Amino acid sequence: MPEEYTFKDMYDDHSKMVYNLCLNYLHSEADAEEATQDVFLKVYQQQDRFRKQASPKTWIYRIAVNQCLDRIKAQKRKKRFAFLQSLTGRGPNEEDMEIPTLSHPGIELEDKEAVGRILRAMNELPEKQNAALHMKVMDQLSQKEISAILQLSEKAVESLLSRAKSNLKKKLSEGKG
Amino acid sequence: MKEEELITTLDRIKKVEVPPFLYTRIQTRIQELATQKYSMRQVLVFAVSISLLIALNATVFFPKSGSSAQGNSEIETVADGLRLTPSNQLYGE
Repeated sequence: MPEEYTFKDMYDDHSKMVYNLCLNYLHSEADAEEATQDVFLKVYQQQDRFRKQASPKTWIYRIAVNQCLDRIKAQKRKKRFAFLQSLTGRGPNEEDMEIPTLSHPGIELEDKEAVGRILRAMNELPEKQNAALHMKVMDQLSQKEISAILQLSEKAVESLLSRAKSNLKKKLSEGKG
Repeated sequence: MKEEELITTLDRIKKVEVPPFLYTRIQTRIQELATQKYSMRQVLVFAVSISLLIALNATVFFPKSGSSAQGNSEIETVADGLRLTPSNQLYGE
């Protein structure tokens, strides 16, 4: 890694990857923009650690995935709270109860429904399964790259992907009924 | 849904360009963070200074209850001896 590799260079090289990753997880341009900012803020704060990395791409990708998974967890907590409020008769904020519309500029209108259903089902999977599936199917990462990001063995990643695909198919077929 | 169908559907998602103003926003947040860091430090220094001041002057804020009571009883003994305690009786016994 050359000494002259600045934060701006880092941003130029990886921002597209991070932004598209965030869009695929969060399904919203606004959320993806915020998440991308958070990711690069973290990268800026931890620049020293970054310079020791053999593969900055892996390191930044991992930060981005964790950022998105945290946001998804927060959204689920908000929905659960809204649901509990509705049970107690306090009445939730209507926004919290709505299924958010897919606002992903990379998805054509005619594909929105089908793709949206798959992406929402993926976010319902356990975190590691969701992350592995995103990396394999959406970002076409190799098993080796996935194992480096998730810090698992390649065999563990293979098993994770198999479970993820099986669980996803189950969720999608449940949804059809 | 078959795996191939799944992959074909997701393959239709196109990669998009990053919004052009995003880097500027990140720069702004970095600058805000730097400002926050200094004011937090100032708050911390202030809090530590106040705590030290209170600790050093602990006796002013939390006096020992024993010593003042003892002091009072000594004064009372002397006052009694000199019949200085206020009394409504004309002739002290």
